[in-house]
Amino acid sequence: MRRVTTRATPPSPIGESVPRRDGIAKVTGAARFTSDLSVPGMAWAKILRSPYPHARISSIDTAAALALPGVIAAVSAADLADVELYYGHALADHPLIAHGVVRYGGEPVVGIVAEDPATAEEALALVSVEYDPLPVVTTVEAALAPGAPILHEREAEQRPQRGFEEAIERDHPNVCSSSTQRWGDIDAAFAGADLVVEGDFRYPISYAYAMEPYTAIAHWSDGGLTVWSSCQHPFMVRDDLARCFHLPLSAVRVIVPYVGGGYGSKSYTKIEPLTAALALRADRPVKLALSIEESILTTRGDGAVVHIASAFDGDGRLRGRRAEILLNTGAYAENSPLVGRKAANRICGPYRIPAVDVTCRAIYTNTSPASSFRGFGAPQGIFAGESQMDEAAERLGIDPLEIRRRNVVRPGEALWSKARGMDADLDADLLLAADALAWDTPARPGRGRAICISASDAGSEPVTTSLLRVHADGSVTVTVGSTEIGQGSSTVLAQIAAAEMDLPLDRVHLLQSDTTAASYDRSTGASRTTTLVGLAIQAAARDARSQLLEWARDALAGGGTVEPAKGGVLVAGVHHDWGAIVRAWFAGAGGEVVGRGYLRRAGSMTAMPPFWEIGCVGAEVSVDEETGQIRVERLVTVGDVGCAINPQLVESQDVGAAIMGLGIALSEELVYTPEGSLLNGNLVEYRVPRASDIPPFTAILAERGDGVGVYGAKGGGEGALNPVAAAVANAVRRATGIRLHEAPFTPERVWRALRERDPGREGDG
Amino acid sequence: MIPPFALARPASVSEAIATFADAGQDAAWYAGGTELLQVMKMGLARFGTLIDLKGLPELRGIAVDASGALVIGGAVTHREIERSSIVGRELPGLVGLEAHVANVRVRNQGTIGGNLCFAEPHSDPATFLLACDAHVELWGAGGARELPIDGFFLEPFVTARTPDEILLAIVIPKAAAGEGRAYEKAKFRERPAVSVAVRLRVAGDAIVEAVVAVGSMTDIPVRVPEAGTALAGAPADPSALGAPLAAGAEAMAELDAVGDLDGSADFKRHLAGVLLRSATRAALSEAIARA
Ligand SMILES: Cc1cc2nc3c(=O)[nH]c(=O)nc-3n(C[C@H](O)[C@H](O)[C@H](O)COP(=O)(O)OP(=O)(O)OC[C@H]3O[C@@H](n4cnc5c(N)ncnc54)[C@H](O)[C@@H]3O)c2cc1C
Repeated sequence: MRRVTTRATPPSPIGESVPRRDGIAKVTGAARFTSDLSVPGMAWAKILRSPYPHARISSIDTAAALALPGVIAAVSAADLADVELYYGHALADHPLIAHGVVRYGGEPVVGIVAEDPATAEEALALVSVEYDPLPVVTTVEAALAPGAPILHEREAEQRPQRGFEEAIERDHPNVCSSSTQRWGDIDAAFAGADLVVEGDFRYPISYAYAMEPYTAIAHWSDGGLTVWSSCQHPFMVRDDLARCFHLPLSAVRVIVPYVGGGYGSKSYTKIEPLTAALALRADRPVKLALSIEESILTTRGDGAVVHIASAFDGDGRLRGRRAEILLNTGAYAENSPLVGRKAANRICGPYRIPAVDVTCRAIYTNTSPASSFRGFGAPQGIFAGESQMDEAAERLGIDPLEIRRRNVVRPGEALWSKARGMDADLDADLLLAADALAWDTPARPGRGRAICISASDAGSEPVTTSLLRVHADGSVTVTVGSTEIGQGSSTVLAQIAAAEMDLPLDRVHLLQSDTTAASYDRSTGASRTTTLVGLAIQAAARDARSQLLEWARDALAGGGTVEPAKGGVLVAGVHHDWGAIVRAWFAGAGGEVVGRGYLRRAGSMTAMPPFWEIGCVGAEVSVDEETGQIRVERLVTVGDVGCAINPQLVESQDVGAAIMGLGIALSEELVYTPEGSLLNGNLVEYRVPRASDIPPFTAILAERGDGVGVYGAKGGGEGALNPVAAAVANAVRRATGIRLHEAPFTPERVWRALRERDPGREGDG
Repeated sequence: MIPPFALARPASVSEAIATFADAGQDAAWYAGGTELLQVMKMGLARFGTLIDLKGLPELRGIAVDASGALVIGGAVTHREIERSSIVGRELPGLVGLEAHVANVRVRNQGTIGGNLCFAEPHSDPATFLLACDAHVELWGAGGARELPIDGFFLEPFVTARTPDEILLAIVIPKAAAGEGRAYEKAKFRERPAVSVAVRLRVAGDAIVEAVVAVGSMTDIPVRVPEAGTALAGAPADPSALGAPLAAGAEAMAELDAVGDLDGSADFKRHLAGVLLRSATRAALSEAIARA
């Protein structure tokens, strides 16, 4: 890791790579994940899934299953008349269990609850379901073709939690949502161009593999519902549960124990409503623990078909960009309306473009539902856009680094009107990547290099709260609603609280992700936690400190003067720490002060997005022209994070994100047949990178204090994924002369492109 | 989830065979379980009794017999072969092959007997052993028999072994003077995408005999006699093999290739040609060293 710092020195322990707080528990197996938990009286659920990708359910018979000893309940939609079946924070189009129709292979049809998991599994085989198969569409082209089967006959309710302001537009029954991004005179921009590059790019349906599959426990008691779940956004899940079961928010408690990775796959609601419905009918606490194969069927990332054209002046300056993005969204909306919104924004790149005309439509198909995936609509478009930057550079005879330097916006410059000005120095980031790749010296023969850059409007909505409680011994409990999903938030947020309260780290403890006991946070996504939750903690700490100052004046200085000091106050030259103030004010041994931190769309959070997340990646590759295998010889990431609160954690985020991007660039794709069968819904055939696939790596952290967050920090963790596919494709182009339009760049795709490059090459000795 | 089953742990092959007879159709041999348990978990097969072969002394161990042939017990794991100095000496190509089977967890658990008996068409050892002229020793209710590996694989997941028979050992003849055996594969995920094995013998300055096998390309691993014929008679000089290799590649391109997630039939044919070149060169250099 290389750190390039121009920011002011922050207080300890900010900027220190303290060990992660959950590290020892996780590596020793002491950490308890949802699947490790049980509730007295708990029963187990298993799910019967549709073998058909699209069918009407004509009958369901569960009598034989119910007759099996140990079976407690067999539940289908027909048994849930008192429940609102359809959920979804954007479009409530997703029945928690199939309701008359199945729309993808693997959709839950019947849930069995039994005394133990083996009995529940055995009972599945005793359920008989009759289906009338319906025509199937698995690609966006097929779904939009004339006469295509319609997936959703019913108009779904639009929900306020969709994450953007405008109403969801739908111009075709199979369009789940559509978004546009337009400015400038696009026709004039193209008409006056010296060069127009135009092409089609395809981005795969991918799976955000997390080690822990989806797991939930639902427990109805005292007129309310408690759910333990491996989810990223407990408060969003709470909203959906409250709506499905007609409960006030205060009657639903969602608790998130240790989580084994998310990467977007655990954002929003997944199996929680189903688990709660099963618990309701079984009248028992119920655990539903999916396998990885079932998790693959539960959500995945949006595949994309992108048609894009970019217009340039002769000196390489962008004049305009047109794009039409079609997302393969699968059977239900999930979070794709927001992914589509972001894809339309993010395909513009971090460039100054006078005119833009982008449409992104998310299309329903009979495949598993797509939702958030690290990078979130960015990599689909960045692959296309950044490929075109290199194409233009080549055709105009400009160095690919130089063409980017000419086009990136400057610090403070807005990418589109009303947007927050760029809070990063993109030109400097490009130069750091170039330096790490030794851009100025020619690559070895057979190798190619590329540098790609992206900017994502990140941070989601700035809605978060925190309570910071200073106890009578001066130690601190901080409550936040954001989830530790492996990214290290439990460490970083504690570092921020310790710094703000002048306390050693071991005096600070965190309570996270419990909708009743912790405080509200909208979501753990969009790379927002360090920045937004960090600010809420800072506000809570300041509130606590100002109360403590008041209390000291009152209880220790008899209304006289107190001087703020490190970790407490000075009264007549004597230092009193926080605990002493609390004890004095309550005039006893106990008590505590409660500091409140609220973050909303006001003040520094008025301009959207809350911050820009930069992805800046360099790659050097070679290609085995006989087998078509690409070898990544070096990968460079520049993490432009303003201030790395914990540099080692930032580095692991960047390395992890880039490797995840590399997985998609090289091998990851869920393959559906046109008939709707998923061919590789398991980890043996869906190839996720392994430790041995990690290429030589240079991770650079650029810390210029230019973020809106505490100490100039801003978010990271996704950016490094976004440009990877483009960087690999552009580097392959420079190594071999082929241009790749479809990710992943499998050996066969590379081989076919090589064959096109030189026809008749076959048969050499 | 795996349906409940009984686990038998016999102490000898004859006890194992008696246990199998008692359990009837409902029993299966169980070695590393890396395939068997997966198949049971997926509900594709159900057995009331699994008979564990790992503890049978007759199936353990790697040795060289009186004829100089290499004998590998049916329950020897991939990892044991990979680390065996005997195999390293007698058949170095197999050590290299085993080191790249699956991943270390599967290698540590999975056995060579399980690999061959399961007869998944994407098998590394099956392809190499075909070229090496190996045979397998079986022992079942009807007694013991030997089968050449060429002909052992009938269809994907089907072999000439009857369900009651145990694969006791794999026997690989000693390399003749001037003989080289090599294996090359293209691998993009867990299992090979295509692989080619070549055994050839040089005498003087010519290749006098060659056997070529290809795996993961057709529905079962097969020998390609025409490719062997193309190489036989060629000069024992890696730089002078252009025409025979092209003819060999053409012969492989005639095969009924089956596309899968690793690539289309076309791409597999192309890869087979590429691998034939590298495997032939590797076999040739081993042969020259042994001449
Ligand atoms: C993730 C993964 C990756 C893999 N990658 C590769 C690869 O790259 N290359 C490759 O070649 N293979 C690969 N394999 C296959 C692997 O080699 C086999 O799974 C393993 O060798 C099987 O051995 P086992 O002892 O576990 O067999 P088991 O699962 O115990 O048995 C498999 C079958 O053989 C029968 N059987 C086992 N032993 C005997 C015996 N001695 N006599 C009679 N019948 C017997 C069983 O009844 C069962 O039907 C992979 C497997 C996995 C799971």
